[in-house]
Amino acid sequence: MTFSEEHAMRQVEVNLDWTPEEDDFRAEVSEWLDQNVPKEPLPSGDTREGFAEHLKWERNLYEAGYAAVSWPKALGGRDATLWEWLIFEEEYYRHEAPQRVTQNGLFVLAPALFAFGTKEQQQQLLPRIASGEDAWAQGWSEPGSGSDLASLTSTARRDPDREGWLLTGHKTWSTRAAFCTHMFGLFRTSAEEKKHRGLTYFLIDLDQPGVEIKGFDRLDGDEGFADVYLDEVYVPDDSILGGVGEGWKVAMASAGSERGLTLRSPGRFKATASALVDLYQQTTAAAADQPSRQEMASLRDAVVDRWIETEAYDLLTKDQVSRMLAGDEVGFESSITKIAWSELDIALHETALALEANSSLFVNDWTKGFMFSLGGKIYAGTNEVQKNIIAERLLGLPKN
Amino acid sequence: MDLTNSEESSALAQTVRMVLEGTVTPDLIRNAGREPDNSKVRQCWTAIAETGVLGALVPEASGGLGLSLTDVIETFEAFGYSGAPMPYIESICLTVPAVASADSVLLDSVLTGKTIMTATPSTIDPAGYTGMSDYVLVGSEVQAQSSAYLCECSSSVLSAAAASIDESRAYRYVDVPDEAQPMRVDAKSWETATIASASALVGLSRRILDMTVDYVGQRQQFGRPIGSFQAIKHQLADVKANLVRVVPLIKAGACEVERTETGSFRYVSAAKIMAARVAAETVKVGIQCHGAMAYTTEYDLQLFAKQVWALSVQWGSVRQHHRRLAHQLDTELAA
Repeated sequence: MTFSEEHAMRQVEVNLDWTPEEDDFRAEVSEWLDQNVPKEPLPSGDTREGFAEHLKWERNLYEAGYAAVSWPKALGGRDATLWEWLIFEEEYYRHEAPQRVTQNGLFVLAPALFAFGTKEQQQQLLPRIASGEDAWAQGWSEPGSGSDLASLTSTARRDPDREGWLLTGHKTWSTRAAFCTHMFGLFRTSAEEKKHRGLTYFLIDLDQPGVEIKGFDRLDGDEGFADVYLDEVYVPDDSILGGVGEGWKVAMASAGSERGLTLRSPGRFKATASALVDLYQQTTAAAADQPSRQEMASLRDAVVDRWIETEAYDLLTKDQVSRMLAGDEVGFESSITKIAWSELDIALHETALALEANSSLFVNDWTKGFMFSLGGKIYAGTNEVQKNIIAERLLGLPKN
Repeated sequence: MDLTNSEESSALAQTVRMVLEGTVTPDLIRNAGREPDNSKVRQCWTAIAETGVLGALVPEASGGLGLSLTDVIETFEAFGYSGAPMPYIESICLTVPAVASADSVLLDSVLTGKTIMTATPSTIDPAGYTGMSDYVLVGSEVQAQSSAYLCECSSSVLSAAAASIDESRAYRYVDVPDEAQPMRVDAKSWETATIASASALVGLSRRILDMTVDYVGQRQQFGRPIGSFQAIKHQLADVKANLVRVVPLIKAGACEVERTETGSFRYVSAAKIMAARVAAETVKVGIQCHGAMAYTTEYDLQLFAKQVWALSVQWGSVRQHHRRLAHQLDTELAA
């Protein structure tokens, strides 16, 4: 039997077209952003004053229904599809709207709450994340536990007097923790069990006795990091996400979303790539410091390569969303996504610095963005760890 | 928006894959350029033709499968993976559709695999598989032109034999004789071939990756499989990550070929550039991870490596596509 006899029925073809509804959604978002994005950029959200300014912006977004478009309406979203979420992100970055200082809650904690939270936890916490009322910090890393997260030593022990736990330990490199109201993190609930066993995922109110937070500056000079010291900090039983001893499973599921789709949508890089093309055209048009033809050719090639890589990342995301909607699990492929966006971000900024020459001696969006981009290969699980995951989980290579 | 392969696409790829797995052995690839009568290659080609795949892009009314390019990408990947030393890109993208639209008497014969035709965009680009083909279709000088000539493969038409990097391809320049038969080619067919070559490069890369993963899992040094060393793991993880990234770009290129009337082929060029680079890197990593084992002609990896090197250049080199893409981006941004 030939192929044509077996398969006479036509399917919907691969296509890159948006539906009229999706086009309408884009137009609506674009119009709202046109009218509402602050004309003057806000001060950096990784500083104390800037963070407060950004929270006001988050409130505006929430009231307009744009804080978390893909969430259910009842929990602070607007029931948008994944495609609409991608469109929203694209428009958001195209309009140079403020950075999302609540992103740890939105993109790291929330997926874990949706997957592992009780109904009460979801209803209580998610709307407050969307509105920016609660700002969440991460409590993963410790001074001795970075890539080897499972070696962490912060502990939780039963409170002998109350229904709950007492948390003790030192979390560090916690993004914007100095300005946050809450922290999620992993603590060891069983001294007998080692490594990833015996860990529990806790949701912690930071405004209480025993918590001490000290901010410190990131590479780019903003106070974006903090040490969080906990000394017998009480948390009630219902602040556990996913059950006692289930912390690793919950954390890895949310780390997957941090690495993958939700943390770094293509819109962000498309906006950077578009700014890079503008920069290239300004450089070629500028009379001063006119590069030679050969120099321009090599810079042009670099800009074209960044364009290719940005489109490839955009299409990778669309491919993954297509498969998710078809019912497939993306799973460990999120490690590939993480490598893709982190390397892309560095390359985009390096190319801009090569174009800018003298401007790169000063603090500006490109130089700050470059310094920030170097963090991308470190946070959300270093790229070295991601490569181990790809090698062992996707290729099936032997462990040590 | 949907980038998942249709059932039709996967079914065709699966049908073709089964034939290829049964017929395209390493020995067949190794000897393809050396057989005096091409009998084994022709036998294999006939088996492939029986699936109907050669007419994949030909309308059903003309005896083809009437599929779109997006539905055939997976199949080109399967061809690449097999290392089939035959003009599958040339036939499916160019010669069979051209013969079909010319309503030529040769149609039945090419669809059944009895007559083999290869193709090249111009007289300055060497044509592959000239040794096993009966005809060669030559585009008139500039790629993307719609006129071409069909020439019989004979010593008077083909340039003198020179050793090809991929022996099975037997590259030759074509000197179009006066009596060559003019033939219309859809200008987009050349772009179709570029997309097919990108997809075949992904298939070849996957083959090399699979061989390498197998090898490093077995090969013991320092008392453990070399695949347990991070230095090896990270190289292969990079290859895997790059391969996953290039496929959606190829699909976008195929959509562009099907849809665009504007002559913009940005994704086509981007896909070929990225596929060629990823494949070149895969070959280097594959050889390195095999150590001296792969630095021989006895070991099969070289058969696929050499096809990668050939296909990276054919249907537009990285440099050519880079130049075209830069030009398209510039004009679009200026407009």
